[in-house]
Amino acid sequence: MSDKNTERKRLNSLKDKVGSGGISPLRIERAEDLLQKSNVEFGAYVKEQIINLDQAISEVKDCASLSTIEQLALLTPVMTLKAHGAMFGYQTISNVAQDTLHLLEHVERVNDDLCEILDAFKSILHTVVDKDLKHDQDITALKPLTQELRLACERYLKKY
Amino acid sequence: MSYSLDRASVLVVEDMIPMAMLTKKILETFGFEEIYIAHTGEKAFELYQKHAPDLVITDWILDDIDGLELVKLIRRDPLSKNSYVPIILMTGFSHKLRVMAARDIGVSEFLVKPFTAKDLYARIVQAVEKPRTFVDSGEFFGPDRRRKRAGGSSDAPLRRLDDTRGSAFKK
Repeated sequence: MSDKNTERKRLNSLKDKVGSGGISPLRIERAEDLLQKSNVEFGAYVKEQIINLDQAISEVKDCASLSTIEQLALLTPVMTLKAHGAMFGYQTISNVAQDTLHLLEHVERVNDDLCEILDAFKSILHTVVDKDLKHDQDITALKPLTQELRLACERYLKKY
Repeated sequence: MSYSLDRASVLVVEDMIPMAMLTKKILETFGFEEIYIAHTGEKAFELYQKHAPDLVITDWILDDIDGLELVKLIRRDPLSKNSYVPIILMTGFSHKLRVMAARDIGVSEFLVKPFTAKDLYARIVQAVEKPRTFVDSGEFFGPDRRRKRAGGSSDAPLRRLDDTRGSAFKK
């Protein structure tokens, strides 16, 4: 835009307008409450992401390597579930999607072993939405499955 | 005394409608009153040009032009209303390389999803109280990608455009 390595004066109107003092803890607490109580029909959204994931898998299955675009197509539905699960009370969805996302960030191709892990991931997602498992006791009940998924991801990363 | 957030405007860009509504409600609870919502990148830039908000909070993955393209437009389009606006990028990605790529486009702050109200508050405080100095290197225009060291010095010589003492280095 102009000379090399020049530092430009900011035109940041935010500070001038809002002043000082932060936000009162009460308002932040109310906002946290709002998040805790957020409710949305999440099942359909999860199933839509599973379809997107299946489509991405079918397009790259057994390819020698993934292009950047193919990898992003594979990552996006999982990342989306990781991002939004806990925002709407489905902490387990965010947790398992986080583990799966970490795995997918490191894979170079989609083989049978990876498909098995992704099947296990999808199976957990179906269980969560079909039974609407949102609460702490539900998360505890799913712990053996979620732990096994995490271990499977770790084994895969060690193997390949 | 606390922030007068009712005096500032914010643009939220999020294609997942319930998430957009949730973010809006949180911002309203914080005290913002002028909140614009866009579900696509194209609509976002249209609203940006129309209202010139004081803060932009955008998701990364959008249906048409994505969050990074939107950041590029805001930072580099000659017609952009304010290339210096603080931009918070919301994303589920946290892989270092992806974060670095977004930083290289000109994002001010990251907000990894899922987030808490405190997380969002912290990014807003950062944007208000510690905005990064903007750097124009020809190839890059945006907030300084290096965090300033204590005392305000950076890792490399930089020249302020408003510095009348002249350049700190020879071209």
